[in-house]
Amino acid sequence: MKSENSLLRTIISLPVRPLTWTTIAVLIGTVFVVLHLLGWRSDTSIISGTVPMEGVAGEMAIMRGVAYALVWFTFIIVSPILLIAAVLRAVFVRVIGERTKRAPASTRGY
Amino acid sequence: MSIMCLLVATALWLPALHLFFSPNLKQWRQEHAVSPVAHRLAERHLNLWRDEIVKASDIDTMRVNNAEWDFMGRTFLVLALSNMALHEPDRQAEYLGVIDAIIDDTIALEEQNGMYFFLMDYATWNPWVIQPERSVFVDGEIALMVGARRMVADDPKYSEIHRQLIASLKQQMGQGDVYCGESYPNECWLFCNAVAIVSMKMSDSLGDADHDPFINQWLISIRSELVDDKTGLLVSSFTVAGEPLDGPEGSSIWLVAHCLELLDEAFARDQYQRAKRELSRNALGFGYATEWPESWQGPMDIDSGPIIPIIGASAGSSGLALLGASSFNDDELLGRLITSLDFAAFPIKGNDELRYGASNQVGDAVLLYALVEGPLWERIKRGEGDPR
Repeated sequence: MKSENSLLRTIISLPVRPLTWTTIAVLIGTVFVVLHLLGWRSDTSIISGTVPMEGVAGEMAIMRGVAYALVWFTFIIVSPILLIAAVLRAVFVRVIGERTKRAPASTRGY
Repeated sequence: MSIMCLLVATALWLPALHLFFSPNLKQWRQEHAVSPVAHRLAERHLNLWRDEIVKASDIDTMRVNNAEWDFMGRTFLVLALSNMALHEPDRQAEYLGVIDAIIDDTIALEEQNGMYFFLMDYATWNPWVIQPERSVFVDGEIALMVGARRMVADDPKYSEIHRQLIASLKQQMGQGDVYCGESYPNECWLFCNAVAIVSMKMSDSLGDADHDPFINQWLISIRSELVDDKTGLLVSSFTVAGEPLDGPEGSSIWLVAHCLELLDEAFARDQYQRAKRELSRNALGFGYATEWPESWQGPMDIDSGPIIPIIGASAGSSGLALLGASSFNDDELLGRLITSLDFAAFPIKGNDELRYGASNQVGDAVLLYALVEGPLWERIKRGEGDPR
């Protein structure tokens, strides 16, 4: 029972852990690099209303272009926010932890 | 605490994001020279017109979407190369070679396939009001290209074509109630008519004729009949009788203001300032332009391009806003627009070339023109044709 509660607490706390945020940021970055190396940047012409080619090939190009654009904007906007937030949280946790250690015994509820 | 950290991180990052894309404007635009960025953009176009296979592929892609884009891409590229030839006399022969190739190819296609080759399908749906049926859009831009070429270096081969086109344009526009001719059946566009007027101005600078009385009448007419009451901006399209079809649009007004610089500087600046006030936006250091002012919302069409929801950014209007900002020496707006360009238009660099993934050949040609414009318009203002 105790270990089940511990596991549940761990899962619930995952989204708010700096490590999770960092992992997500790195994941987004990795996906972006892969799409970039695959050359999907060239398919972003759909933003100007230019469909690169007709038929199924055109639809695939649109999908690639939209995917690349979405990943780029997520990478450039969301990833840095997650990384900065991870650093901030780690700093706050350390600062609060040190203050708790330095506090007189009487304030620590002994 | 976690939510607070995310909020603080957002508050720190978003206002700073634009700094990573803010340009050094000297790399983009120089008053008396061609900037490094402009050279890289031009290289792409020069190579495109030198390589038949690549050119065909790029142009075919655009024509799949809109035949007008192919045509307008040529016009803006000729204007850009004309300016570059005036900035860099030692490369004039090279630039004129490509300009001539574009003009000759365009005229040949028009003669072979008719004016509908460069028009959208709906050009054949209704009868033309003015006879003989001609499109001011097609004739005006060919005349502009030929006129620009002549302003750099006159050539008898082009002077006769230019004179014939001007005569035809004057005849068409003179039949309109507001001194404007049709681009499509009973559909006149101020963009196209302004371009036609500029080509007349070029002809005057070259000593062909004096079109000032006609141009003055045109100016009087558009100022009295085609100004939107709410914004004071010129409308974009109207019937031959002068009834507005569309209100002010970004994909039209920035270029119209640029053309008006040659005709009535005070009016031009007024239109630019109004367009900037009504259409340009600033979001955390990123600039863009909307297609319509708050007071009038039109339908999304091929000229406006896709409109990004919520913020209402228009690729067409934003691209031409670059030309407006450059033309009126508005470094503040130019800088913000370029910041957005590098952030959201996906520059693709390689082999000394630059193009934008989110753009197309006409969009890149407009950008190139915006970065090099100046000497051609100055020459026209001074009334200087080719000194030879």
